[in-house]
Amino acid sequence: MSKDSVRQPVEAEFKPELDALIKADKRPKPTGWLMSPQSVVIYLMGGKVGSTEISPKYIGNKRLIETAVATLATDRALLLLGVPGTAKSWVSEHIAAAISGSSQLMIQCTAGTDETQIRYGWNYAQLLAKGPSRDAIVPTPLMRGMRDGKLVRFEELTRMGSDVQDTLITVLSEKVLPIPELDDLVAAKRGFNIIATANNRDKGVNELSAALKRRFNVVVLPLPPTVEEEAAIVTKRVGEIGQSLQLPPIPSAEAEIKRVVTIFRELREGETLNGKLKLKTPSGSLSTAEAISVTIGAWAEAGHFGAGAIDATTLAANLVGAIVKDPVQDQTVLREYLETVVRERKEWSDLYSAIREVV
Amino acid sequence: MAGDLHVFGIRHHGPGSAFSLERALDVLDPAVVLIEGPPEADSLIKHVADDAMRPPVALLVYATDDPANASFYPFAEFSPEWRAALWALKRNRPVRFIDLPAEHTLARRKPPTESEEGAEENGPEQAPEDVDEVERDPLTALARAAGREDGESWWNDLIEETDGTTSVFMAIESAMAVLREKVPLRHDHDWNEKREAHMRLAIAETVKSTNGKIAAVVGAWHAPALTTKRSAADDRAQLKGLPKVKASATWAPWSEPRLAAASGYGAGVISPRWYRHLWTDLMQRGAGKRDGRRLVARWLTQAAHLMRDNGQLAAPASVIDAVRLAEALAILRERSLPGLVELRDAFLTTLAHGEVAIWRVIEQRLVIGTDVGEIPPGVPQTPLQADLQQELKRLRLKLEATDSEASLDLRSDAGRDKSWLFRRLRLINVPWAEPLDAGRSRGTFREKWRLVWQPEFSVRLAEALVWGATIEQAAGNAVISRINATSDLPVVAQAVRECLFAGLRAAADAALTRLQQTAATSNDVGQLMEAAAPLAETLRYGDAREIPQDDLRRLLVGMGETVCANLKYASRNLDMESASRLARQVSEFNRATALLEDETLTTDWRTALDELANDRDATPMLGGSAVRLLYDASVLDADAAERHLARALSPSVPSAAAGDWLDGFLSGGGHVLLNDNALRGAVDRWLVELSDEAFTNLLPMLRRAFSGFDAMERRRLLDEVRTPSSGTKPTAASDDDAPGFEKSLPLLKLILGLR
Repeated sequence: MSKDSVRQPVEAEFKPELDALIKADKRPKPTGWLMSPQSVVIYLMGGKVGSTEISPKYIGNKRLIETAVATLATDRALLLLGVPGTAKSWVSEHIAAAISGSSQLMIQCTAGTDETQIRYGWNYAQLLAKGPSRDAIVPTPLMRGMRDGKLVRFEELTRMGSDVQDTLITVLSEKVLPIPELDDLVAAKRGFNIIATANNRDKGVNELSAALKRRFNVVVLPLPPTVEEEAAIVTKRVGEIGQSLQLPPIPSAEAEIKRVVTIFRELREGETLNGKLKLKTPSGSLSTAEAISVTIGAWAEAGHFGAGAIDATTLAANLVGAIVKDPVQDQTVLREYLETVVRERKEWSDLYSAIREVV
Repeated sequence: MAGDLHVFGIRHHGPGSAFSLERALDVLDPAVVLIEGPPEADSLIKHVADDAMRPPVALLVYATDDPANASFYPFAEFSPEWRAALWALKRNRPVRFIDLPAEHTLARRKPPTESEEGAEENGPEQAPEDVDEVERDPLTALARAAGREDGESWWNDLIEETDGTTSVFMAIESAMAVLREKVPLRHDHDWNEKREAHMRLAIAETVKSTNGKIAAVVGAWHAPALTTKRSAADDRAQLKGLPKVKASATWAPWSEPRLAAASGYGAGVISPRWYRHLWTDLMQRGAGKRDGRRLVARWLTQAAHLMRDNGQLAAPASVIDAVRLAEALAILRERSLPGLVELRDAFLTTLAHGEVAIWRVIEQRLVIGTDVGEIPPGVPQTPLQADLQQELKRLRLKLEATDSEASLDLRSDAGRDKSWLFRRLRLINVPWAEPLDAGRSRGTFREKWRLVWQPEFSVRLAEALVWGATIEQAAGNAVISRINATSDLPVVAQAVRECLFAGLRAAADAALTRLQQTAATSNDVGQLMEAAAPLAETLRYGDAREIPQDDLRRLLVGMGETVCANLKYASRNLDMESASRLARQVSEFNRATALLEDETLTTDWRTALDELANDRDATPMLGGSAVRLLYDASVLDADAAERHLARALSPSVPSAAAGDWLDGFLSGGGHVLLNDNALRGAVDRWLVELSDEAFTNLLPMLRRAFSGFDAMERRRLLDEVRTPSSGTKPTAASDDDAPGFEKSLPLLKLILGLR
């Protein structure tokens, strides 16, 4: 990939850090790994190796990353679960870069993904000319990863059909990819493994079969631990997206963003921030990503039609739209939240009346 | 004569510590064993060796005149102190407690005042109080500094590095000596000095009178202080003029969850069952042949069994994966053995597939545990009885096996206190007093009770000791544990009322929190309404008691909003029985909203009723109730109500549904029909226009609808039909001549139930 590409693969972007870690690594390395598990953890959590500063890639609980790395070290496949905005793909890219030196062996799973995209396809010209042979096979990232002993990433695993998912069962338990047409197989070289990511609160996805689930170790990546951190992430992303959408400039809305994040967190976690009141949780996931889109929506409304600043009125409709996904259940959730929490907060009275108007 | 002193600094409740201690005692073979503990309990040590004594149990020392002022010293099977006592008793060696007597410790503590009652939910305050984190569990503090989560894993490594017995304690003593120098003095440093002074003196006395080896088993923190030389005169000066109260001691059953919550020695044991697992493993194999894999595999297998018992999938292959992951994590984190943290991470990632809820169950059962200890009958258990005696004396009551009646005036302190005592005793399963006027819920200030004391109540008092040392504490804790085990809304709501009536504020707050949690996740409209109604009454009438107004009000409004939002859906597709139950709950809740006087809720409630009244899919009986309630609240005028009535009873509606609707509409008294000619006319018209067959089918329905009226109302209704008082003449009479009407009278009487 050239330097002009919009985004460089992480192993290119963080090459100096990776090199420094590999050079300094004295601990034993699992076969096929570029560095020891401890170094992988340092690469993700940040630290210092010799004179090289390692930047933290994941901000959060170190134990989760340790568990993820230990999983791969015991030759078990890793499934990273989390709602949108919890850095699942980011973590999987970096782990792959650190262990295999490449984050490029990736299969994006969708409802349209079929078995040929997982196992192998055929080059029909070759197939017609020579008949079934190894030359006529078009390898997938999975096949190449097995052949070369590298990590293969599956993005949004649960988005593809369950029957296609189950293709992975043989690969994970036998560590071979059979090619029945040639009476042949590709045996995985040491160093091969799979990291998959999936959204655990998404409705309408294909649940993993019990057989496949058992072959994965599951690490759940949590949302940002505090309101402040989450609000900072939202503010930053909203600024970036707003600029690229060329929305009319408005005064900074940090206070309003904090309210959105507070509401989302409270509903998501089913209790108020001070932990005193338990709440019902709505059916939607209310992820950080959704908080960003609510704010962007409010910004667009305020900039184009409203008073030129994000306020309770512009937020209300966007908030209700984000929270009420199921007209019956979520309506209850919102109303109860409104009457027991929003109403009690005196400084939120504008929001209370604005939302009541919309509901 | 001079004894040879050996001090063993242990980690309270540390199984590794207990194991090393037992080995060290075997090697040393001391003639006397001294233990950090209240000397008042010396005579109780012998029960440790009693086979019927099943830990966890606690030594309870309390001020004889004020059992609420009490300290618990809990012991688990793996507590080093317990092992030391057992070691000595089995070999017939003298064993004594050497801590500062409880008579001083208890006197120092001021008696609990009203404002401090919040502490009662955890039982009596723990002893020694106010200790700093470091001193409470210095080994965990050291472990944390070394990057470990708890002291047990640190001890594991220590055993690994030493021979696992005597030298461990030497290493610890020198570590503590350094730690004591570096850690800043805590605020009640003086008190600690006094305790150590007393321990030194007690040890010195034993040393003087013993010819042989002496083992002193104390918290690691104190170990260096007991070996340094101090002049006995200085120590004695320290202890001069300490305040004193009369103290008594007894054994009390303890439980694993309470062991986890906090413990008398202050060492926060967070995982009793896991420690027991470690202890059993140590006992079976000894420190030399430690096999981390077996330890981990056994525990994870138990966890898998538990999951299967709960109907979850737990493949043996997953157990193997979990074991491997736990080991890999231990290596990655550079531990000698996988600890609880590694097990948790491994379990969560493999067997639980990342679901924390599954871990919570395992944590409850296999990390904390659920066992309750047992005390053999021969051991004196007195504090609750003592407390009762004192209360009886104060309130001038007597325990009598024959019936007597007590009539209380709640406005007087004595009356209120008696009522509290009766109710609290009932909460700990001692129904000495039975309320004679049950069902009374309005704000009266009189209560009547029937008192009969049964001998088995004494046994129940002893059983209640597990909840606390006074009746008040025990009652509060009993309620809290009961409600934590249920998610049945009305039951929790009832508990809130019971606590408020029994003057248990802290427990009432806990119950209220629990109610809020349960209500927040419930969408069962019927249960919510049933729970809310009596609480609204309590809030309004107060029953001459203090009520946490704001919290209760907010909670009720929240529950009300849920009811409003869901009422419509809850009212569909119900059978007869559930419909009448829900109708009753709706009308009770209607009364509750009136009592609450919350403007928003009232508006929302009326909107919800209106929706229900207009909902074509609603079960007819509830539609009828809704119209009636709205009519009674003057939200609907007579015309609107008649429109509803006419529509619900129109010929196209199946007659059974129409009858149900009428049943709902007429429930709760006949005054509407009596006083409202327009409505009566509409009902009458509908009745007359029914076909013969439909009428016959409907008769039972009608009979039931009218049976809700009292006899007087029914008679007046008949009179009204016979001789209309105003212009609107009932149609039945208008088209027929008098004889026809006379003929229909017997039937009419049958319908109205006047025969």
